[in-house]
Amino acid sequence: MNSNRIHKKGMAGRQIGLFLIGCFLLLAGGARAEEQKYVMSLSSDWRVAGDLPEKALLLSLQGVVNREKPQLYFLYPKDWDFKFSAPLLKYYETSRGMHFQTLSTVDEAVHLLGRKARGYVVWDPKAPTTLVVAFTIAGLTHSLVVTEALIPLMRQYQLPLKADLRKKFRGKSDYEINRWAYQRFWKQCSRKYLVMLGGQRGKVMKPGIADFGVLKGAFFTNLSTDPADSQEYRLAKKIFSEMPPLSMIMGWHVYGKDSEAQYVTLASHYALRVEGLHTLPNMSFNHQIPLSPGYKFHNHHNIQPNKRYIPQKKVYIAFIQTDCLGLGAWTEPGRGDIPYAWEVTMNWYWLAPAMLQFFYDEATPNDYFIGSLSGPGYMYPQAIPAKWRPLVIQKAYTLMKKLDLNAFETMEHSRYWQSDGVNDDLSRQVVSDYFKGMPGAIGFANGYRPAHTFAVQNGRPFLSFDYYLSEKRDEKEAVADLQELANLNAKRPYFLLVHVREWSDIERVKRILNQLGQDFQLVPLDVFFKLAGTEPTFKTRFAGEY
Amino acid sequence: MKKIPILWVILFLVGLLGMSCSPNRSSIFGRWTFRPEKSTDLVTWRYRTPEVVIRKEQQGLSIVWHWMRRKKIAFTDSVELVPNGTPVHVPVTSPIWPENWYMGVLSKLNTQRTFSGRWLKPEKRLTVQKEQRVTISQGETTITTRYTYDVSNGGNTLTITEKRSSRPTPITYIFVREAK
Repeated sequence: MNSNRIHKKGMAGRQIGLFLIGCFLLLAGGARAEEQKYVMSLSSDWRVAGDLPEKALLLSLQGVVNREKPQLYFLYPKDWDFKFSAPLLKYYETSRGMHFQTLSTVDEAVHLLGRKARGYVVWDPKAPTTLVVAFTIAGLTHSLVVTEALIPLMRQYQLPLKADLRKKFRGKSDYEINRWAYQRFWKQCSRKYLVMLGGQRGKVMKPGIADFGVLKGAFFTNLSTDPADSQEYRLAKKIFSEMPPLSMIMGWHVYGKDSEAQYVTLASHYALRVEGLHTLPNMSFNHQIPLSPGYKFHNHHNIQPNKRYIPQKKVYIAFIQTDCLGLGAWTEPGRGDIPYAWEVTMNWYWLAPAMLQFFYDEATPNDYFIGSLSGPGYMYPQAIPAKWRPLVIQKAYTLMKKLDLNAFETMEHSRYWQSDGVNDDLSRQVVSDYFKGMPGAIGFANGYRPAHTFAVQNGRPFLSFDYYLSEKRDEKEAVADLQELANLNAKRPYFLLVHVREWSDIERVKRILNQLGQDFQLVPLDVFFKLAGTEPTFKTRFAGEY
Repeated sequence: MKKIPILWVILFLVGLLGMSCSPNRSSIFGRWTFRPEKSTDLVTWRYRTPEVVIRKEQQGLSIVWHWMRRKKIAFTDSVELVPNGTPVHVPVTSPIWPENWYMGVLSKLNTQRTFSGRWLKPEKRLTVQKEQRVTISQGETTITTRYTYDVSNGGNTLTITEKRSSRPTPITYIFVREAK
């Protein structure tokens, strides 16, 4: 009996064991299914009359399905502004163990994932601004955006029609269409995010950021921020004014309608932060991938604590690559060969943490990160109302500390189009606010093209760019420009801060550097700031003091 | 057969008349259009294109640099001087330094630029010297620039060579005479 009982017990034990193993396998299988992600390559055709309708559908699908969890990722073509969608995918696979199933066609994507949508919105390629409105509706109703030609695909999956924007907007102005959308949808939309769906317009649109706007239920617009376009400007201003300070304006201004300077100025007037571009890819996915457990951001600092940095009679030169990480040179050859400073898009800390970790993990000892740009996002210091400026600086400084950054960069273009591009400078009060609000910053860089604000406080310099290295500038002439600056600024040491435009690669910078002569010495930016703070040979100057 | 020599004589006379009526066609005087592909790579203020007009005045000549943006004049820089005469002074009313947009250099407001010039070859080759105060990161300094205006033998090409005291290499602008 006993033995029988024991045997029975053993049998029961084995059955329970098998049951548990089965459960484990099922759960594991389920977990694998949970982790199933999809990747699809996008082509270079973004023409309204070409592949844009399919791309718009895919971007709305991405925004809708990634609401549930991050599961759809796109590989962008080589000519896309942001170059990192492929290396970042690889990084996710290796560092996060993600598995991606490749999708080849729109039909396949809709077949596998379309059931997560609650309907569809039809836009009209003959009135391309209806696409902007369609994305707003898609975000509010969890829908896909389609043109007439794609309606049969929606019907195939029995998705209901949520809105039809065909025909009714033909011949209407952007103002009329945006006003209509504002009156109907603005109240339901997020106040923390707005998408300026600008960039190219007319025959081509590249709405790479649309998935994120759909994810967040944001209002999409393409209004002009040029005060001369008074109707559109007034509506844009009204919308911006109804967002709380420090909210996010994702996307970019509309080329040919207004200027970057006007766009960022208007946003800064309401202490809103611009996060470009309209082509920023996969943000609905990247937004949801956390840092590795226990991960801390570590910058490659070059200064030693308690060491005194005494400059010699030399021309000290430092390079800062601007215009956002991942545009241009980061993925090009030469990175790591020479000391180089990179603007960090600091909001990625919370907007796309793992994506920012990817850049920190990839950085070489010669890649030194700095905070930017004027605030926690792209802003113009002179345009930010004085009552909000301390908060803006404090928020930026908090991000700097989290990202192990001890240098900061400002850019001021709020008078750019009125001053014929002369006045890129900061007032004494604004400079003082940065010194005060960022006590741990060892130095500040200012400008885009050369600017003329210079100051120093307790060994911490505030220096403007003295040279803008365009990717198109003839190399021999660039060498002559830099040598001429060294001749004009005859005192030694001379501190020559160079802004390298994003599309210049480091090999080109090295070739220029090698022709400058022995008087020049390249140093890492943090060392540059320390040397400049020790012996500031520049003249203190603020906005308007020419 | 008899008509041919007469035709040749008429053509010769017309040509002679044309030459005598437009003496400036082979001098530096005229309106000149920039040819970027033949010139040094420039980064003028906000990427503007120069256009040069050189006129004979009652006394001496005037040199006008128009900085064009989309076929419109964005701003103008002009001087009237007498070759081999006394230097002339032109007040600086804008901080724009049109020579190079990428360098941290501005014209010093409320100063004067000083110009002097002389013919190296009358109406064909002119040299002009300019002195100007500029604002730089270390304060202020003076740049002396020597321009040479040289018209080609055919009178259709104007080469302007700019040598700045601060710059190791010259800058060459090539212009062609504006077609009437």
